[in-house]
Amino acid sequence: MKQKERAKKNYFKCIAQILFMLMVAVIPLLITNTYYLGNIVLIGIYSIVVIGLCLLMGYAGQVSLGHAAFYGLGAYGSGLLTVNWGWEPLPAMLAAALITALVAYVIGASTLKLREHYLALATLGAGVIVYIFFNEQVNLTGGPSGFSGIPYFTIGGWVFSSEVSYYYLVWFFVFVAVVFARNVVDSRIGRALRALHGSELAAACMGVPAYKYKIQVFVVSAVYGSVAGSLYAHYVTFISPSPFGFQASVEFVLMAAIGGLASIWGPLFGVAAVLMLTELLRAVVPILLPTAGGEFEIIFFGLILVAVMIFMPGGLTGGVKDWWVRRSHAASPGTVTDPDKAPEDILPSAGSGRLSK
Amino acid sequence: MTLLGVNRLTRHFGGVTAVNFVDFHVEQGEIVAIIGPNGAGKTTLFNLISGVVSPDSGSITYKGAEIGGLTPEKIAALGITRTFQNLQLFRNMSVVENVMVGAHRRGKKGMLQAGLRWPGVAAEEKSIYSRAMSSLELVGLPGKENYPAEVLPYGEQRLLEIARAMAMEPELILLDEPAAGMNQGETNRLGELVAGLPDMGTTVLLVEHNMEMVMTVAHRIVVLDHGSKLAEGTPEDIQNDAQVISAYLGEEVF
Amino acid sequence: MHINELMQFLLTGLTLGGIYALIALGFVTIYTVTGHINFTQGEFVMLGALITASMVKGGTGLWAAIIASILLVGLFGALFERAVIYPARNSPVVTVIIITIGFSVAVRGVALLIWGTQSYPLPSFSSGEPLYVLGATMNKQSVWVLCLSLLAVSLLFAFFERTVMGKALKACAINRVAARLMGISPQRMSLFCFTLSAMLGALAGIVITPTTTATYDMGLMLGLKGFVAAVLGGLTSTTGAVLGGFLLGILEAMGAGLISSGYKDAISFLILLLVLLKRPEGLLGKPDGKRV
Repeated sequence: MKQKERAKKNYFKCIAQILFMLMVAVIPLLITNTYYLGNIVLIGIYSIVVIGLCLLMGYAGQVSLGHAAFYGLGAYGSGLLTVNWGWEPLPAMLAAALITALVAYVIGASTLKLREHYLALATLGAGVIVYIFFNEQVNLTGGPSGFSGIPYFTIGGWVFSSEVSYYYLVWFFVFVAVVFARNVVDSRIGRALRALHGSELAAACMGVPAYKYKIQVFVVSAVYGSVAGSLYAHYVTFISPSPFGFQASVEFVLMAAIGGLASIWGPLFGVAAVLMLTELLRAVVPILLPTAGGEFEIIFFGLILVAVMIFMPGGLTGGVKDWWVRRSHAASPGTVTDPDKAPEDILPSAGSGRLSK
Repeated sequence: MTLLGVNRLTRHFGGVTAVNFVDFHVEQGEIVAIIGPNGAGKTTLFNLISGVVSPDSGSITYKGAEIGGLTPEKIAALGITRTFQNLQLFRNMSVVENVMVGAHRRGKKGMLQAGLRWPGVAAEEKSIYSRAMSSLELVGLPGKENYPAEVLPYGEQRLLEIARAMAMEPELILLDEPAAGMNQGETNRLGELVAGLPDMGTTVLLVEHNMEMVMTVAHRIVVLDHGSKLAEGTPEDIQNDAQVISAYLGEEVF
Repeated sequence: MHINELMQFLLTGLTLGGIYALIALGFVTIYTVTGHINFTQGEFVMLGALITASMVKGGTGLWAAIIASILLVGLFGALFERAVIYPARNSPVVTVIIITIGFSVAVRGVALLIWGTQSYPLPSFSSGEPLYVLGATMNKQSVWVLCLSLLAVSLLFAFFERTVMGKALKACAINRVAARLMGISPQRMSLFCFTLSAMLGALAGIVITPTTTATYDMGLMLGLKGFVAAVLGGLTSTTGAVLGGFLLGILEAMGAGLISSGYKDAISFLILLLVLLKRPEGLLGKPDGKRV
């Protein structure tokens, strides 16, 4: 029976993936307006960053406040290598990813053994350094005004110059990103990472190398950011530091949180929701607050982030899942609750972060 | 062959000496029980052997090599694992997933290979799954593999801890009060399970308050009191030892 | 390199350091008692500065404005704790980090709506000629910064060591469960800490404004620097926070003067990364890495 259930689950997963691919394939046929299609390309690019961030936040229990920097390293890496040194886009993307991985490794190796705050802070610090670097190295990066002339993405002789071809390229990467993340999560490594949430002590006593896996997840998540950055650079063909600052990092975290941390499809919803919200706010806020300046939407992002984390810590997908589980649990009376669970829940083990972890 | 040797092991917590100059050893294939009143240092001893805390002085050897002060993860890699008196299940996971984490070290494929579904990853997953299922069968929990771990009744959660540890196929298992909270029937079945472990190649070190079970399954008993070793011997020796009886066992147990 | 120039950097560094120390103390107070890092700390600094500047502009006396602003920001800190931290008190650390980040972003946005992007000046607390110290100049405001931060630090020390409330806070920091069993409510302590930290932050923002002016986005960088100072000092030690603050201030002033002022902020974070890499327990803290 067990095997059957697993097979059924896999079957559903397959169907979902095929449906997803079909949807992605059909969209350019339905949406011919390049503005909308361009937005969907951006959703794809952001999704790659956010899938990586979700792996880190949901499975390693850590948050990065500097993912925009990894995104920026990918973009500037690809841009500089292709423009200044005439590299082909694909090797440039790989080289940028490698540099980003190294940077992430150094940051992760020094902070992932420590409590959660340290990675948050170190990534934030690294983000600030990278941002300053982009701004100050005027000879190399063009400083605050950036540089242009980044070539279109090419593979072999194939040039991705049209909106539609770039759309397919980006969503191919999204698909690879989803599948890779899904595979990691479904493997013994994903299980081990989830086990760390349950009991880090017990996981260690089963021989799970927690620190090693956390570093690996962090590096993978940074590489996701870098690849997305490369795709962005070849898409807009012009880059300046502003999309890679602290605010962008916060927006990525917001997208991840809204989508649901420990989920792989969540990021797509999260990114789409935040981008739609941005459009909505741009339309609505000037009516309500005519004096509001350009960055007003950040207020709402901040408040939404707070509200989501307090009331719906599992994000959109998590919230729906919880509701579904509660519904189906209410329907089946067979669930036994453990009488010994209650006292542990009352003891402030989770709240006293400093003492329990 | 001596599997585990503990020599003059000492650990203080502030002004309290939780484990004080303790000596004992465990032979391969044995079931050794550690008994003693609450606060005797039994759990600290387990924490020392499994690497959860480091010794202040003295040594712990495993197959002749020093393991005192290694991390739990390294000690697990050598083939030693444990269960926990205050259950440490992965509450966020299903029963079988809990046990599959126990079989984690069966796998060798890293994150890149897993992400790319490299050839061999699926076979590895299958082997981990079947190992977990047979471990569940061993402790008598088949048919519940898809339940969330936290909905199991208390006694079964204890069995799940043992299943998870056994999935690692350890050479030495440390069982920390496995019978706590179990009824008579469950305790009897647990006794049979523990007694059978050496035949599967797993040596047992057991902390337990249920004297009936200890006297039935243990080959040798070490008695601790206030962190120090009070006595050591076969169950018969211990039952006849006047010192032990006055210190701990008392009449109510028998 | 002229010795006067070095002396000048040192004095600038000490002034900056006093500010960083005040902000770092806010982080340390909250962290030791609740185990959380409050990424909103910098916004307390900004609010203190802007409220004072606005009140002075509106005609309120300087000292009245300062006191009113500190009290207002303290109240804001208390409300923040009740509305945002309290509902999430049992959440994982990462959740609380995200919550405080989200809240700080929102506060910054609101400040942008209210005050816009222009910068608000504040007169020096006392007028007069700058002082000359070993060939370097030190304006009166720097003296105020140093004196006020030292005063705040001494008051804080006295509070922790001499009052029942201070001792209760320390007890909470050592063991929350035990403290609770002794009748100390960690939740009340948490409320108190956030209020106190908000007031410390506001003070820091007010004393620096005469030199730098106040803007809606000043909190981000100042908050981060305060955190770096707190980490340098070990995150759980008040003495460490003060020393960390001054050390960071001096290193930054030297770096800006000797290397490049554009990289001033990068220098602080490079120091942070180096400390995390080599001595994560801080310069004064005891090792307490998470044992895996």
